[in-house]
Amino acid sequence: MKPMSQYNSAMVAPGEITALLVRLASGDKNAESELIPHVYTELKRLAAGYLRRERQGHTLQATALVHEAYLKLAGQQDPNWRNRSHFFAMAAQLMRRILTDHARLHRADKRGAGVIPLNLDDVVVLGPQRCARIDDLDEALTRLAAFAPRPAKVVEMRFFGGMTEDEVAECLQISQRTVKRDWLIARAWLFGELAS
Amino acid sequence: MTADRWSRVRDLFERCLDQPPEARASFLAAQSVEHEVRVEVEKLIEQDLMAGDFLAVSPGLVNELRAGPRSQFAPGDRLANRFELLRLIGRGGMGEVYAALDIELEEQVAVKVLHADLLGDSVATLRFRRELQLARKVTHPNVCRLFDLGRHSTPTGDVFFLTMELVEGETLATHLQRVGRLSVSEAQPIVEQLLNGLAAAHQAGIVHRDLKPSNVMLTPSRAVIMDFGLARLDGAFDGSALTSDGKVLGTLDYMAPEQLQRGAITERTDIYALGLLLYEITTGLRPFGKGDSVASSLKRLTQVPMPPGKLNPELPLNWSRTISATLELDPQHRPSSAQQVLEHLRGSGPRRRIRLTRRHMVTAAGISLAGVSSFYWRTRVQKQDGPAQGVSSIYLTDVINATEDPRFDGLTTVLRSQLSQSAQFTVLNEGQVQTLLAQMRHTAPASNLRPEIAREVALRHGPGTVVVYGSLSALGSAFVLSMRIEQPGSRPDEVSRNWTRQFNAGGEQDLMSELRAVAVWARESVGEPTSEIEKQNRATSDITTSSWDALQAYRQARDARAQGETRQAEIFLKDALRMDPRFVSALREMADLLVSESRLAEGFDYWKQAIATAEARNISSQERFRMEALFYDDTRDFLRAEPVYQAWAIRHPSDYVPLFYRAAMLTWLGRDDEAARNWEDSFKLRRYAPTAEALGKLALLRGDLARAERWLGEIRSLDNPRALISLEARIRICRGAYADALNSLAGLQSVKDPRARANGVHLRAALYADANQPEPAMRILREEIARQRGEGQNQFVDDLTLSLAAILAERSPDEAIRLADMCLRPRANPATLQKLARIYRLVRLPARVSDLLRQVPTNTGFPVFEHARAVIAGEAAFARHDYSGACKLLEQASAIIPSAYLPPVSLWEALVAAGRQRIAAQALSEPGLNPALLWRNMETLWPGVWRQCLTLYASVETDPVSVAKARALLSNLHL
Repeated sequence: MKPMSQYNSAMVAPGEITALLVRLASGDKNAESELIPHVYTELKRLAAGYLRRERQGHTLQATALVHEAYLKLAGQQDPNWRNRSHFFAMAAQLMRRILTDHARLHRADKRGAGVIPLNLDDVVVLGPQRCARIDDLDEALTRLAAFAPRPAKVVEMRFFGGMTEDEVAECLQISQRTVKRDWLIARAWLFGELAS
Repeated sequence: MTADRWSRVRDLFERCLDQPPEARASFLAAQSVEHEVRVEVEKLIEQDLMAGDFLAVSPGLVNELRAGPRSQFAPGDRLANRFELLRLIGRGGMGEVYAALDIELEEQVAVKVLHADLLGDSVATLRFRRELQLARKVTHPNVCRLFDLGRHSTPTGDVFFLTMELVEGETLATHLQRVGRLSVSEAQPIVEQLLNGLAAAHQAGIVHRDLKPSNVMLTPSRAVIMDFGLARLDGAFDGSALTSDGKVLGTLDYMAPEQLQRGAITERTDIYALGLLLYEITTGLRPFGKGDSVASSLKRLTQVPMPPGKLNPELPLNWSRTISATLELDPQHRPSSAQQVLEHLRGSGPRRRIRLTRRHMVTAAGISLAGVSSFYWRTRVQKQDGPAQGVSSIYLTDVINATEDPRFDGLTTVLRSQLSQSAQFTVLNEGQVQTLLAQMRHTAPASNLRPEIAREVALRHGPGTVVVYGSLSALGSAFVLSMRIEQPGSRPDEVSRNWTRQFNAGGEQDLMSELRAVAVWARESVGEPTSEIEKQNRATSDITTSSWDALQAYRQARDARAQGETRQAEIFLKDALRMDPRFVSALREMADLLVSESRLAEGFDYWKQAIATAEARNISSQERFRMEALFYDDTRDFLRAEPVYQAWAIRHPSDYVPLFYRAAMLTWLGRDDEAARNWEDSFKLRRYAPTAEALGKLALLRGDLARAERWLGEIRSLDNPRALISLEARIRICRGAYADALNSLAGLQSVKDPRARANGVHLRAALYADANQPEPAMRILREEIARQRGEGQNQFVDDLTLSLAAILAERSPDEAIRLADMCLRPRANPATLQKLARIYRLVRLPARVSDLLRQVPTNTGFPVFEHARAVIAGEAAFARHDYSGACKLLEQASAIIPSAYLPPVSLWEALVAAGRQRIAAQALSEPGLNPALLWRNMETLWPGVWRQCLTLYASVETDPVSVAKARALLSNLHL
């Protein structure tokens, strides 16, 4: 995955986003590619803003960002929560990219110059609960997706998108029980990958 | 992984998760799937268990500045305008620690600057503050004092820091890394202080949660537990603790099972961590291995580690047991408080263990008796499976006597003797059961065990062991005996098969007879062929007592003996024999008791009666073998004993006992190769530590140190500190590491068994005397004599006194005579008499030597007496300066009892005195140059004997190479 900095912020009207979300929920792939730049930009902008405002050391949760981005882009105008779940699924994927890219960038920086300026690109990703390094997790998820695509997707949606079980179930059109089981086995597998 | 295999893995994983956690392993084992799938699922199940909070919280974006290795502050910086940082003293998971000066109070403190994200969440902060409030109340010298939570404002935000007592020193982790393990005397003050600190904190309601060697600071004067109450802050208590590098934090290594499983955290969680810490302090090892935290944590969920005493023989038994107790999986089974741990370590915990002598091991296995009468009985089959396969041992638990008539307590004894007739299986004897229960750290009496305990005994004894239970109740004058046989599954809570049956008897005598039918049923159930049962199934009329009263007296006698009350035991046995003079087991027990009391002549009379009665009553072959073999053994008639043990071993091939003793006979007879084979076979049947010890000693005798070490390794895996120390010390002696040998022998000091302790002191005294240090040798002998007297133990006092006299004989003859006279008692045993004869000879009292002859019975034909007479006569001649007469008599003596059993040291001295240098040199070369020879039986010799032989040898040997060897040994023989 490459950094997605080619997308520039392009403000759109809230109604336009809603329309795109409706198309996305009905399975329109073009809608997704149209939406991605908007969501990505919004996520980055939000993150950077927060980090500038917050005092040093504050942790900004990825899921909170996703929710906020959703409110910003679609807001209360979206009457259909099914659209919401599809938005989150996409945002989760983007969040994963953002976090992974920045973790890598940060590591590259560290090998180079010692001074790190304070902007979004210099934010390192750490789990507040001391979770595994995010780029290792990203790689492990990619390996998992090779033979178990759906469980990998479930992890992405829940961990990076903060989606609830029923949101995931709705989005992937599977039962909540399956979501639970996908999550359990994927988590166990990933834990093994990262702990070894 | 392919998608195809994944789908099979997933399917099995999910079905496995549907099982309750404790059933998952067996469920998985029962599935027929390809190996790789099973392995993968096992891994996933484990990982699922370990994953805890993994991925539970979404990742976040945080600022780099407060992470990373750069120090946030520099010396000279002032925090909150009050704490001036002096220097950085540490950096941990929580943040950096500085030594600082509190400007207001003008004293030094430690300041721990916390990572900002540690206090990011308000709930966590609140929880942490509460914990801190509690922790601040703990003021104990062994707990690092916490002062305050401070806040320091910087332009980029606030920084939180903790102030605490400044404790400077070395962490226990570093210390252990440097020194390996600590000796008990080094560990004791540290451990006691830690326990006191822990107790104080627990009283204040604080659980540490993260006790580990790096959290213990050692200063020159004290041990201090650091970071009490901070674990919650670190997140270390939760199983998902991973560093930002994706590595599991070291703290996982000291977590209790309940902590790993996110169960309730209590004081006993700290007790567990403390147990791991004690284990590491005393053995230098982590019980579940180092390095791989995840693997070792998984082991901790299901395994109890090997007792630490096995890894460090110098560790006192109560330490080893206490440490093991703290590492119980179930918190309820651990000591409930630090205070209790302390008490156990100091040895004040309640514990009484029945001592088992060699004699118990042999004689406990079976007796035969029976009732003779007409009887009416009906048997009702409740449930019967087909016979079991491959049963080689039976563990007969005490039959529960619900009749309120204590005479029927003897039923187990009768049943045991009935079952012991079988050549197919052996019945576990009391010694074996005691050993296994001790391994399980089961402290309650061996009677009335819960079935899962009994099954664990059977499982630990080995595959092919079944458990037999019984319960007797009375119905008017009739009796109902319910029997149950269980074949344990793979775990103590599983029964793979069982057989039950109820036996009814119309009266007391019928019940006695009925026991034969019970035995036949049990033997059939465990698969003994009918043809075999018929060979050894004595009719009731053949068996030796029909009196429940005699049986009761017999049992009381055995109980009294097991408690060390031999006088009382003798009275009970006389009662039993009054009620039934032809009660073979009582005759035998009496013989055995008298022999162990050194009343040999009386004992031998009972042996003869017992054997004659047994022959007249057509008693079972095993019984006869057992009695004859013991009788010959006791009379030191090894030539006769050996074939009897052999016959016994052939008739009962699954019994380790005859092989063990046959090997001993063989080695005394100089047939060491055969001895080794028999001991090895015996060891295969039962991994009995003394067998490994004997094999180790044999290897040493042959100069095979590597093999001796291997046997030492075997003993390490068995819970027998005495055998371990005994062999370890001898190996060290053979390596010339005398000081180390002394060290390991010191471990016997804390053993409760007075015999083992006396032997330990004896061997240490021998080492001192060999090293030409009589003073410490005498000191420890005197101390032990006083200690044993103080405990009311007089059995070993004479032996210790004689060793003291032997050391004094040449230095202070009057004192030696005084001591020797003290040991001169009526009915002194032959071994004592021979030692006395030697001492009187050395102090030049020939008349006293001759007087001793009167104490030995004449014309008995028993080698033990004939040998003693020849030795005393020889010593008397020696004392009269009749050296050639002495040589002749002492040579006769060593033809009666082989020199392998009793090295004829006096003969060697006499040969030298008689000027027969060449023969003396020949005889002395082996005991002189090979320390293993005299040290094998050093317990029966006297201190300084090896140096004596070595000196004698160096003086008579003419071969310069051998002389040089002897001189080299002598010059190295110091501590």
